[in-house]
Amino acid sequence: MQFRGHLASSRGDRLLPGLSRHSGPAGILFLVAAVSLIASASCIHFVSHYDSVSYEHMTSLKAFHLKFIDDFTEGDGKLWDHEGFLRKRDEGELRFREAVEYEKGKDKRDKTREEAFSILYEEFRDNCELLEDKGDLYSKAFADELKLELEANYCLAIRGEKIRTIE
Amino acid sequence: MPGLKEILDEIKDEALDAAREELKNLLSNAKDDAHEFVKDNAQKIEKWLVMLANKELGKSEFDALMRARRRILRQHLNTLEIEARTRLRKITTGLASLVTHKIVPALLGV
Repeated sequence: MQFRGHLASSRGDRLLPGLSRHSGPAGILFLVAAVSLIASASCIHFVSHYDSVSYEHMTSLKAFHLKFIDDFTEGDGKLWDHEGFLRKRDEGELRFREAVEYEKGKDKRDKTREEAFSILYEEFRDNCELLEDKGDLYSKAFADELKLELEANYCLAIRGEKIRTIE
Repeated sequence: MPGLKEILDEIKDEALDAAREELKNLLSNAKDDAHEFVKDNAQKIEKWLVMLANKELGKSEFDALMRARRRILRQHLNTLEIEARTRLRKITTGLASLVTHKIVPALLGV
């Protein structure tokens, strides 16, 4: 067998460190058991695979959140609309809860993905509280800075989803 | 428009001297840091302090931006964790697959 011959010629009789062709079945069993043990032990803390629904939730929430800031930022002829604010806030609450519940409902929960959504949700609630306390639209200077922060936060969360392995 | 250094120097409060110097040093060190995230963080905080001093931002708005910054740090750390664990997974499963499908059959002469 060419593959076997290559291993034997390049490394003598040692196929792997600590294991030679003469190790016999016990050596092979040891090798398989060791690799399986490493793989299963590491699985305890593994992150889950890429999930297109979670990715979709993140990108959709990003678009909603940025539009929400735009809607409640001062501009020509714009006035504070408390009822409109409450409607949008409730819509946002529902969207974030749907995303969070989707993660919680999985058989194997992934704390890293839940943390990513939790941070974004906290930010949305914080932004709503500030508007409610002010009872007025965001200033343009503040909204411009806040949107840069939101953009960075969502980009990190989305990147965290995209770097996961495909199942 | 005055920069942060000039704005800080205008504060005439001896009790704040140590804090003012510490802030200047921290911002200066952070701006020279090799990590883009640390550098960006210092530039943002300096910009917002200047905006606060110039009344372009209110106190509650400044506080909200600082909270947003802390969340970005959390998100950054979380993404780094995902990245590290994903790499570990790829290496471990790659090793298991190599041993099971290539090395073991070679050892057994299958």
